[in-house]
Amino acid sequence: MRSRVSFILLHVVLPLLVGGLIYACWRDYTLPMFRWFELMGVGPFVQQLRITMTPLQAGLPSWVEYSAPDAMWVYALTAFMALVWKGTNFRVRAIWISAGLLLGAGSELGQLAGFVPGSFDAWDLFLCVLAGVLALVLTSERISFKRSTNDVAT
Amino acid sequence: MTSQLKRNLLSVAGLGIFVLLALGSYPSTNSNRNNNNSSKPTGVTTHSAGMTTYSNSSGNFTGNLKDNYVDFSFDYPSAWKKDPGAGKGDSPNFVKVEQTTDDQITLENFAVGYFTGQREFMPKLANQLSEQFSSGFPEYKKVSEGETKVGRYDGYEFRFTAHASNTPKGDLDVWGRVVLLPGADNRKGAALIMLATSASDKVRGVDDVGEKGELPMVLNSFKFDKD
Repeated sequence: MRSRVSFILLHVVLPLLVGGLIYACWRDYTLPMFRWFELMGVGPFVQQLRITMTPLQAGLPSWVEYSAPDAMWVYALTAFMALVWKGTNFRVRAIWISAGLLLGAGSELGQLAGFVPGSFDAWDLFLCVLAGVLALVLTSERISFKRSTNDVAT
Repeated sequence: MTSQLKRNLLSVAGLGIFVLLALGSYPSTNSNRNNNNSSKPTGVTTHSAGMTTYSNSSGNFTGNLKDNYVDFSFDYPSAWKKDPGAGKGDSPNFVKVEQTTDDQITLENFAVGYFTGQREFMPKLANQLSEQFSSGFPEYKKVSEGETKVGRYDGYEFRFTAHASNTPKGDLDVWGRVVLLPGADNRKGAALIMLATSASDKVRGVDDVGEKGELPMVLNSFKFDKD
């Protein structure tokens, strides 16, 4: 139970928190999340945070500001699904575990094809794929991705 | 309830939460580098978060501002006032927003003017602009200049100090910062002009302009819309 909590904190909550902070500090104030912050009563705190963090933005690579949060989202979702489907049927597990990668990379490819609003960015796609793979690699010690005996039976 | 069903429910719930979080970053998550929206609404949009967005619109200008028009937008605190004179007549600025005291003393302001120079000539153009500013501010003195960065845009800036006497608040120090952002292949550049005075209790010197007070939020949000 304890290892499961630490897994969630490290591989799910932390990436989401870091990605969320990047948005809160440096991204457009018109995003819905800032209205949510206001509704939650933390708007003034977020504004102060943005003021404090502004000087750091100058030295920030563009990909950190614009691509990394999406990649962290993919990482967290992949890790979450890996935990939920630990030790289960390979086929079902594979579908759920690939959800983050499919949604993240899929939306970028959708932009490339013109199905999804926005503009395709190769960095976004690269980091989304990297994040998905990284999540699998970094969580594989705790979660076996080998076919279980159930799979042999099916 | 079977283990498989539990996992399915947990996955759907988790996926829902993740999608909800993603919606918080919509719509700009996927429009980060090419936001070619030429039919965007003109002027200002007020948000519930106490911020207002200014979006430049080509239909509003004549003369030099029309010739050197550039799409950009930025957010500013809703409590700030938009200068009705900016963008009209022979004003060099597309827009100017300002935070003042009750007796109309400037605390901080932010203006965006046109800039058409090339990157390699920015130091020379900054000097020319500084000369122009020197005639408009008593005791004007340029104190620094050099390369800078605004968000993801490389630029060139100079900072200056000046002095205003006999204001309703007495004598005031004036601190200014001008950032020149060069044009790109598909757009003109812009000059960002920031001023603060010693009437502000948050800005304490020329180094604080755009770094402390409320200007950082404004400066931080500036972006060219065709980029």
